[in-house]
Amino acid sequence: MRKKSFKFYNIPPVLWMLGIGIIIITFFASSFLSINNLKNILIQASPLLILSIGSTMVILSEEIDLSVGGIISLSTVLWITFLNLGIPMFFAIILTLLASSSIGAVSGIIVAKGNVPSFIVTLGVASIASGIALVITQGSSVYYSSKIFSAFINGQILFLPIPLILAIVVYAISWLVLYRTRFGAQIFGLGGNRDALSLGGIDDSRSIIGVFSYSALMAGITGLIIASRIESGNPTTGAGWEFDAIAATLIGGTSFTEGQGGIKGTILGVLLLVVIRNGLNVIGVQPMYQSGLIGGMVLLAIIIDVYISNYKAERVKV
Amino acid sequence: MEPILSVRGLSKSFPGVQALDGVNFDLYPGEVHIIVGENGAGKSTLTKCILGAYIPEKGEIYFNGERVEFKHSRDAIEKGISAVYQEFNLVPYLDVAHNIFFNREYMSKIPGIIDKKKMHNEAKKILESLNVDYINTATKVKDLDVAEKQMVEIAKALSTNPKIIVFDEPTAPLSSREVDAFFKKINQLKESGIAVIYISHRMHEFEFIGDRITVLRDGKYIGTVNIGDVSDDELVEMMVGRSVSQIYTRTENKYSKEALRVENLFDKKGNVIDASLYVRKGEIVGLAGLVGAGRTELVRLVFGIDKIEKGSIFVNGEKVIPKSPTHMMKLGVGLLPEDRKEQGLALSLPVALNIVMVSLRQLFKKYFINKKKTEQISNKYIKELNIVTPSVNSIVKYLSGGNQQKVVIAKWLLPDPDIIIFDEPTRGIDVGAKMEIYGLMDKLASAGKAILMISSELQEVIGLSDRFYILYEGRIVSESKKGELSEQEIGMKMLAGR
Repeated sequence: MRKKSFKFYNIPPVLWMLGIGIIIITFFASSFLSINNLKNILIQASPLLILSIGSTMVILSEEIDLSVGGIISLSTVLWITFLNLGIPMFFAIILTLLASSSIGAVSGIIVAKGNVPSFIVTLGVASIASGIALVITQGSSVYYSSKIFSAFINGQILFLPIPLILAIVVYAISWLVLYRTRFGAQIFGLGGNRDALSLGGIDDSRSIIGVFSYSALMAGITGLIIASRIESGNPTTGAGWEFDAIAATLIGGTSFTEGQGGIKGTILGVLLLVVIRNGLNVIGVQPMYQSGLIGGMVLLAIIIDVYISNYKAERVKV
Repeated sequence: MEPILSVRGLSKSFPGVQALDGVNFDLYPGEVHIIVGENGAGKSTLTKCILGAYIPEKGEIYFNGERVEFKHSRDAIEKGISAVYQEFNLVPYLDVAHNIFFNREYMSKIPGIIDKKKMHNEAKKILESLNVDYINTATKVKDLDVAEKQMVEIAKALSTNPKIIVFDEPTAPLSSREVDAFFKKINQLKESGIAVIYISHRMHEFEFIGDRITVLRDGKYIGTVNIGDVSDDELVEMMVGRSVSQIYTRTENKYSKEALRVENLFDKKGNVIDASLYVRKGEIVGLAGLVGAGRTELVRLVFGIDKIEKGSIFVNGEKVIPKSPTHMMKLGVGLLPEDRKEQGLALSLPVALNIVMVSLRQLFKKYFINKKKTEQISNKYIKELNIVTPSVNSIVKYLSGGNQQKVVIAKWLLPDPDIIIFDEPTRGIDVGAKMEIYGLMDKLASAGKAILMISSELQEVIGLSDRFYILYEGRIVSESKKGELSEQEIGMKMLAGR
């Protein structure tokens, strides 16, 4: 039997980084811990969590999806445009999500059938997606305002903000998909041992297409939330989100090798990113410094994570 | 009785190799049919064709008298043919039960959702029938050791209720206790009418389980014999095409002083435990043991790839702490890695560049590579080692396995090391090329080089080395001179450490 003794290096690094981060931020600005701000953090974290769940699945399968930023942009534009065309809200949602996930399916088909590395495919697809958004809006933004939007963003059920509830529902469904379905097992198989799939009689290209479609679907949902919050759609809104989602995934302990990790860690990765960003605002760091600081911290977090897992690998008998 | 599987005139080639050349094969229900042959003889290719993983170019496969053309593993699985491959086909971050029923999961009443409980119960039953119920079905496969992984592979193959089951070197990672339980299971399968194809090098196993043996050599069908009708020596002769004594030639051996000494060496992960050995100049020393016994890990320590936990290493009498491969190369040590495709060669570069790869700094004092000099040097080695290549600038990928291996050897001979470590020097190459490499190693030793050789082929260790060590689970359990131990004794030490 393998004994499980407590070791400092067994705590996921993201957990104590989160702890240290909160302590430092609170030291500079005690208002950080106010109920209002904490609620804010959860609202801010919700769309990123949804997006990052998709990225986690893609990375678990040893691929990468750089197209989600572009898909978010397109999703905001489509959603607002559909509403402006007078399409009922429910159908507008369905159409937007369908469009988003089919773009993911296209990436998946090119990766699986064309044997093209996913980072090149999704880089191209990102550009195409925001390109389509640019054409639809003729290069500017589209606007739509509705009471339902503000009700959705500001409303709460049993003290829980509605965006958070949405994120929890998406998380729960994704958990079932990842850990309780064949498709989920295939995701771990894609990352862990692709030969096991094909020798087991599985058409692995279908699983790959599935993963990219799922990730794009998550990007579509993220786009819906963002557009409802800013009451507009813009072809550049999503830029940079793919970086956050991938960073949150990696910080959360999911790695590109062997299908290691899972969506639980991603929650912590998302929280760390959002806490840092929120904290810098609360402390009053000027926005022009924030981007560089956040980039540096993400890099630091990943370096520490790599360092600790190497240390662990040397200590622990394999 | 009708054969359940019949193969006629099967051929399959890969760039540079005719892997199968008109092979015939019959399999009857309730039979354990052993396929033997040297590495590269076509055993795995044959079974992969039967399993639908490769599509043969010529020939026919009949299943229950009916012609079948498998395009994908799925087609073979549907007919009831399952396999335990040499490489693990498990998903590391899924648990044992899920790996056993991968893609055949029990589903619950909720559409799309897996019935975990049932899956674990069924997995437990299968593991119990294999006598390995100590394996917890909820453990992630990455946390199992190799023997446990192999038992999970076997459980997975059995869980499909196959009519034909293929085992490719199944006992290599197993300890003797598990081997016993496994053989018992095979005999049960036999009684229930299941046909077994069994690929193995381990001749001492055959009498316990086998009925017939088919011999392949260089992709060709040599013959099929009943177990007990031929002696081990006759079998080896069928496999290699000449008698054993002709293959391994060692010219007179004169040893001078010690070139390499390792004392009480430990690594950090417990793969090498208290290892001590020495190699003299002019001597070929073998390192035998099962896959995972710690042989490669040991030489990686010596060559400075991994860090030493404890112990000392002496090169030409001087104590050294290996810092890096560069450091050890400067001291005159060379290591030819076991996997030439992954570690030994830059596959998409030309022959010449591969040969000078590790000697660039010695050959060219400035920053630029002199193409003419590179080609001159390479041509010298191409001639000396008889490397068959269209030109010095041909891409290495397109050479045959044997010639690729010779390029690796040339690459390591160029810096002129005194101590050469060969890790599996003849894996996956044909008999002809093997003999050339043996001849070359003999020549190097006669010229005063100290040679340490890891090999998984028992015949190679026995035939070529002047002295050899046997590793078992990280420890050196035996040191013996040529001819001191019988093959049975060596096998026992490799399998059980005693």
